Amino acid sequence: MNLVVIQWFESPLLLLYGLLIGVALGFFLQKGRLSSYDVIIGQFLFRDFTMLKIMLSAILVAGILIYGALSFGFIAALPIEPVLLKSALVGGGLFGVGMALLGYCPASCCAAIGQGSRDAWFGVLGMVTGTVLFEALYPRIMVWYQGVPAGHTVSSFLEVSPWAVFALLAMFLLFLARWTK
Amino acid sequence: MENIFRKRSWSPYVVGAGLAVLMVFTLFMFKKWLGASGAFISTVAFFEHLIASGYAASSSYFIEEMGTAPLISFRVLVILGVVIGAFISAKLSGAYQVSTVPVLWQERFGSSCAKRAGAAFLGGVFVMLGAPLADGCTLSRGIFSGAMLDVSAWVFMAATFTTAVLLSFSLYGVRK
Repeated sequence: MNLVVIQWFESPLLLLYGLLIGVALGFFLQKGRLSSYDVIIGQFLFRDFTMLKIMLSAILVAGILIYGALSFGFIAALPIEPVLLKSALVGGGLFGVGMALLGYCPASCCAAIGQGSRDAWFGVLGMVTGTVLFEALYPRIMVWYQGVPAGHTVSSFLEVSPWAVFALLAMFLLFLARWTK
Repeated sequence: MENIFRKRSWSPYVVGAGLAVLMVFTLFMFKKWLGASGAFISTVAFFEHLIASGYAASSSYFIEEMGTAPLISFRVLVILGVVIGAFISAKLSGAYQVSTVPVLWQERFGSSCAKRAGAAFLGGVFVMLGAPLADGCTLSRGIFSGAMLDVSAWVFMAATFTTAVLLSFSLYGVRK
């Protein structure tokens, strides 16, 4: 007996927009070479800093846009999630083990399929299996998500201006740009 | 002038800025959070509802994560688009190449396809145990929540880097 009303598809127009946004995303990932195993693992071995450079510049630009919109009143508040240190630590730890074996993140794995890397197909199979496993495990770890404190930002936590944090990240990015490949 | 779309790669700073603008645009225009891990959850839920609707409908995780949201949604089409976008980019620059074993992997572990496929599969399992736990992947949780200076996002990224670096050095060793 099925009492839940299932909505199978979102509106066609939104699906089309999703596809177009995805095409742009895949284009950027491939041009950034994040769809390449050698680049991702090269970062973890500190031989190639492409990944950190892309992540830091994306964080800086998105951060400045979002905090700028906030201070000009275009948005009322940031969607900060509750502080889930345990799940962030364990989740991040598992995610890192997975990335080191797979050599892609979920998005760049799809991009890798697009550029002809067949190992990425096995990564997708693994990710589907992982999702099914997580779904089965979820009732046991639900308690991790209950009764956690409200969300915090790095700047509110450290009691400094968000711009100070961005300045620090910018200095780190400049250092990488100057001294690494 | 050389066509930039035919270039093999772009400056990482340009790519980073492009990703940021795309994510902010998607949030403001469509109220959607750009990422990939959520799309896998939706896709798995879709097939479960087709194959084992009772199991899927009573799944506490799907109820918690998606509620009554549509199964084939914006985010599912995003990852389909990613495959197409990367294909176009690689075709335009001539980088498209069918291969199973990456260069770096082959130097260390040889050219066995089965070995590489097994590691990729196992890696995928770990990735999708970790991402739902941390509520997102590199893009959505790392970069985008990170840009909002969300504390849990930074803890997630630090944990990811730590285990990934440790395991990569364990597998490849320190280069002389």
